[in-house]
Amino acid sequence: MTVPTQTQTTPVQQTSVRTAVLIAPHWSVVAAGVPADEPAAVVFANRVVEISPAAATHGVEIGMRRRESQGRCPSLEVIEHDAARDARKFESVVAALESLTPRVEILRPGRCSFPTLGPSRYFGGDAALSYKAAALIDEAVARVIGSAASADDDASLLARVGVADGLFGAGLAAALPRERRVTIIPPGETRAFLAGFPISALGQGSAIPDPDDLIDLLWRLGIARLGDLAELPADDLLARFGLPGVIAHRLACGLDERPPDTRRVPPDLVVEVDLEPPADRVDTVAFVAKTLADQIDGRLARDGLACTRVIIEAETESGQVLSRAWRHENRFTPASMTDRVRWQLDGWFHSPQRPTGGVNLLRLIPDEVVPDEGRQLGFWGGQTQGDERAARALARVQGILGADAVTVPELRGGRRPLDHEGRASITGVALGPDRTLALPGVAEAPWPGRLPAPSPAKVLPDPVPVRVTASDGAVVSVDGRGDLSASPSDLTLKSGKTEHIRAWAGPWPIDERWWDEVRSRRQARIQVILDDHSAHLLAVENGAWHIEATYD
Amino acid sequence: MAGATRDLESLRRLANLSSPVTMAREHTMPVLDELSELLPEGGLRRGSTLAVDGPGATTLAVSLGVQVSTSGAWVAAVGVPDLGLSVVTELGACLERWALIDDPGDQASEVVSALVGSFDLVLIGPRVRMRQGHTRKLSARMRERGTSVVQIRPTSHSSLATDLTLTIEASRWIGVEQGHGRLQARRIEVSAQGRGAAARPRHSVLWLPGPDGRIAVVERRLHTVARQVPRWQRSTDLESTGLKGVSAESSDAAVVEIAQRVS
Repeated sequence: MTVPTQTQTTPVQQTSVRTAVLIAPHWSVVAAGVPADEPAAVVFANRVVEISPAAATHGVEIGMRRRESQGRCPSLEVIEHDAARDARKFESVVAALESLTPRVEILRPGRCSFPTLGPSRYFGGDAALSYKAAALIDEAVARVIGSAASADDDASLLARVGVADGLFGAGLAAALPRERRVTIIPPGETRAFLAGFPISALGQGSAIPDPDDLIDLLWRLGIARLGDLAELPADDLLARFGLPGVIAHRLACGLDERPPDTRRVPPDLVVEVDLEPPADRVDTVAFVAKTLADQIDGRLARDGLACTRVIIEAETESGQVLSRAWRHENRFTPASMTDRVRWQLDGWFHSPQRPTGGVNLLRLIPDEVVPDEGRQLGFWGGQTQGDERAARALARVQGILGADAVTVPELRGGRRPLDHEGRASITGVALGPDRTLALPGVAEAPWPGRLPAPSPAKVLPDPVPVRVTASDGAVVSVDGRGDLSASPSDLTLKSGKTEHIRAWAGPWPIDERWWDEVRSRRQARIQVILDDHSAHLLAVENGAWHIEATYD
Repeated sequence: MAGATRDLESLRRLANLSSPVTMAREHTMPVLDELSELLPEGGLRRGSTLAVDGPGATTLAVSLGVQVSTSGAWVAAVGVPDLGLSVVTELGACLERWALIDDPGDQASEVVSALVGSFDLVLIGPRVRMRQGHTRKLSARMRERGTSVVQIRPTSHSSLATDLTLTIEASRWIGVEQGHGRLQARRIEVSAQGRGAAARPRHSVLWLPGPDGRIAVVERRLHTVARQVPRWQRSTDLESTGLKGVSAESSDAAVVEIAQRVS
C-alpha cells in the first residue's frame, strides 16, 4: 500500500479536482445489523438520523422525533446512534476499494470519495470506474450484512456513485434520488448541473461553517437556487457575506471551496509516537492519539492553519503498515481527530484482515491544511487551558476504565430526579463552559409534577423496595383520587429493619406516558422524615413502595 | 557538543518552570463565605484531604465544590453514582465543570492520581477503596500538584489520611408536618477538627440548603438580631412573616422564627 505523505502539487487553475463520491445507503442501519426488510430507525438526541428501507415505506422520515416515528410505524426498531460502530464496520467497505485506488478518503461512515483522474484513465473512463467501484462496495456491504441476506435483494441498499468536478457536486450527484445508481456529470458541466438545486443544498456536506444562517438569509433575499447564486458577482458576495459567501459562490459555480493551494504541508506537522510495549487494545492507542491530536492542533495554531484531511497510519510489530485518510467537512478539532483515530483502529482490529500483531507506531499526518479562518478564543470564558487540561485527564481515566466510564452531567426532560438528571459519556462532547448542559427544548420545558427545590442529594440509580405501613400495620396505598389510605407511620426495609416516620408530606401523583405500554408510569410520591431526622423521597407504584432518593 | 550544552540549558530552564514559586494566596481555593469559618485558612488548602461525615455529608461535600467550579476550575466526583445533579446547580455550582466517574472499580487510586493536577477538587464516594500502600504517594502528589480531595464518609482502612474532618453533628429538616407542607430547609450543626492549624475545633450552624436552595449561616444572624432588633419590633415581624418569604437574604426575624420552630 502506498501512501502519499505530501500533498501533490496542483496547478493553479479555475477548475476543480474530478472526484467520485460513493455512498453506502442506510449505512447506520446496515452497520447495526438490522435485516433490510425490517423497519428500523437510528436515533440521535431524540431525532431519527437514519432509517431502513422498510421504515421508509411506513412513512418514517429522517429528522422526525422518536415518538413521531414510532407513531407512524409501531413495530419500528429504534437503534441508538453509535458513530464508532458505523465507522468500525465501514472499514471493510473502504478496504474493498483499495484495489481501484490508494487515495480513498472517508468523509464519514457510509460515505467516502476519491479523485478519479488516474484510476479512470486506467479502468477506461469515469463510468466504467464507477460501476466497478459500486460493485466492490455492494460485495463488501453484503459481507457486512452476512451471507443470509444479500444486498442484491433490495435495490435500495445498493451503493450509489456520483462523479463530478469537485467534492460538493459529486456528493449531490451521488445522493440524487434516481433509479440510476451511477450519476456522472461530464467535465465542465457541474455548474449547469448544480444550477437547479435549491439553495439549501449548501448545507449538505459543504465546507461552510454554520451554513444554516447563510442559507436562510439567501433564501429570504430571493436567491432560491444555486444557479441564482452562481450568477452573482463574487466580489459583492464577499463584501456582503464575508468568507462564507465566497465559499458558497465557489461551490455553486462547481469549483472547489478554495482555490487549489500549491504550498506543501509543513513537514513538522507530522506527529508519531512509538508504543512500547506494542498496543493491542484500542483504548490504549486512542489515549495516545489524543496527545498526538493535541500536538498537531498546537502546531497548526502556531502556523495559523487548520487541518481538513488527516492520514492515520499504524505500523504493527510484524512491519505491516496500515493507513487511511479521513476528511472533515469543516476542520478537525483535537476531539474529532481523536474520534477518527479511535474508529479507524477499531475498524482495523475488527476487520477480516486484522493486523498480525500489536501496533507499535502511530502516526498522524495532516495531509491537507487550509489557512485558519480563525477561532477567536473568548476573552472571558470560552475554552481555557484548564478545560483542556481537564479533558486530557479525563481521557487518561478513559484509558484506565474504558470509554464510557467517564460522564458529564446532562439535564434532560422528566419529572422524576432519575429521569431529569442524566449522565452523558464524554466521548464526543466538547468540554467547557460553552457546553450545553440541558438538552435544548426539553430540560427547561415545564414539567408539571416535578418537585421544587431543594432537590435530593442522593438519587438512587436503583430504587430500594420498602414497605410503608400505617399505625395499624396495613400497607399504605393511594387511591384513584390521589389520597393516601392512611397516615404512614412506619417504614420497613427489606432487611426487616423498621424506622418510625416522624413527619411526612404529599402525596404528589405522576401519571405520565399513559399511551405507551412500556414506558408509562403512574406513581405517587411522598417526602418523609424518619426518627433519625433523615429525609427521603418515597414513591408508590402498583402498590409497591420504593425509596427513590435521599435528601442527604 | 554545543547542541548538548544547549539541551542541558533548556532542561534546566524547564526544571525551573515546572516547579514555580507559589504565591501565598494560591495555596487556598475559594469556598462559599458561609463555609469559610469552618476552614482554618478560610478556604480549601491546596493539596489537603478533607473528610465529611454525618447526616447531610453529600450536600456538604458538594457545597465545598461550589466556588471551585464557579471560579473556573474543575471538580470530579469519583464513585458517587447516586449524586443528585439538581442539588449541585441549586447550591450555585457551575455544573458544566463537573465530571463524574461513577464506578472506578478497584482502580480508584489510578483514577484519582490521573485527575490530580488537572482537577482542583475531587470528591470521593463512601464505597471507594484506595489501594493499600498507595495512599501516601497519592497524598504527596496531591500536595505537589495542588489538588484537594473531599472524602464522603470515608472508611478508615481504605482512605487517605485526612487533614480536616467536617462532622455534621445534628441535622433538622423543616417544612414537613404530618401530611402537609414540603421539605424547605435544613439546619445543620457542623464541627471541624483536624491536624496542625485545625486542631482547635470550629463550630458552625448552617442552613444547608436554605429555603432558596443555597447555603446560609444561622447562628451569626441570630446574635445580630438579639442585639439590634428591639423586642417589640421582633414580635410584630414574627406575626407578619411566614415561612414562605424566607430567603438567604431574608429578614432576621424570619430566621429567628424558623430557629424557634425547629428547637
